[in-house]
Amino acid sequence: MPASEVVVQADPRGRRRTADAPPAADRAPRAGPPSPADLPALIRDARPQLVRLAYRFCWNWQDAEDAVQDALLLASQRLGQLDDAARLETWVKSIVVRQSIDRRRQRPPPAGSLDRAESHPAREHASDAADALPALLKSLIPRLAPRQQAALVLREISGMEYAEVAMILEIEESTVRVLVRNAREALRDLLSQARHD
Amino acid sequence: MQTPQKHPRSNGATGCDAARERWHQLHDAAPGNPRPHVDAALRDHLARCPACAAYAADMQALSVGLGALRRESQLARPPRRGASPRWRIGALSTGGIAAALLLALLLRLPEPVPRGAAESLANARRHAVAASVSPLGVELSGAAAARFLPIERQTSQPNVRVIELLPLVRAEESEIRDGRRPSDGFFVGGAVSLRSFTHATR
Repeated sequence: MPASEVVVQADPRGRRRTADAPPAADRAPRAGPPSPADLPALIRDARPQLVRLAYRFCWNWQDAEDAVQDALLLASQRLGQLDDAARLETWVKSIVVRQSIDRRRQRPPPAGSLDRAESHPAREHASDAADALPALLKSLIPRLAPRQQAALVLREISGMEYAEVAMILEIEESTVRVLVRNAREALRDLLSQARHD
Repeated sequence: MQTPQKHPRSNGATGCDAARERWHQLHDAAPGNPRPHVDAALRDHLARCPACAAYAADMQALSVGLGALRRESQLARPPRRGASPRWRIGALSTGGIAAALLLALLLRLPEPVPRGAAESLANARRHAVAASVSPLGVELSGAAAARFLPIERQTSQPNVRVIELLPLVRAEESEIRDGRRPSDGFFVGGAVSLRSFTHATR
């Protein structure tokens, strides 16, 4: 578990979920493809959780809301492609992740500390390195390859288990571990570069 | 940045690659607090290898930074909208939409439709039994297509279906632009238009 403050609980169906993921008692998975009624139920129950997930990529509530909205629209259009209703929430999360990464790459960083950190990394670090590091990381994480970025944010910032990240990204757990390690090392290089610029 | 050096693996010594992999394993097992007694081999290697010691220090600093982002994201709350008069207008509109907001399309096929179902949304909703795939092929056009998800509900009336427009839009954006409010249970706002409409009898 990547952080002591993230409580991972087992839900009644045996899946693991993070503490900020509310239980979904009325979304019991079942075999077979999802019905059109499943998506509205998911939207009603899990939208805040999805927005927070998007926020961890965008660091801007407006962009996070927009990314989730785009993702839900895509999900509604592609619902027929999903053949397992039990995977609906994970599938929607994967779309939210992709939409969030795309949106973050398309839009400039939000105003505030992030701008200052990007514009004057050396000065920020000289004045208060500890405070500047998170802002600097916000500006550097979008420079990672999309899959590294997704794995790192889901694991290190969202606090998900490797297995859960693997389900969302639809890759092997061992691959997630490699992606996270490579992302850490790429961030180390980017940080070093930013400090010397 | 110092580069890793090659070290012979003998007498329990750890190479740079193995040491760095070990650091990540320990971090994943107990982030920010690798226990020395568990990690004697790594500790020995870091004492002998400045490059890996710098690597571990950098990774530890990175871990602290990512931990700060994690805490920030957990504590962050979406901005409150209650203070905005515009939001209140939008909330009222969306309240009308979300609480019941249904676009009831009553299809008058050859069979007679009971008048009661057509008279009020409340009556139509009372008859709604289940959401289903929309055989009507309802498509929303323009901005409405990005703001609402049409969900069709069958009713106990054979020729009456209710199309619920699930708002996918934030409250502050969902004003009823032509000023018309849902009346008698029917939403007829100008923001919603139907581009194509076909139906199939059951």
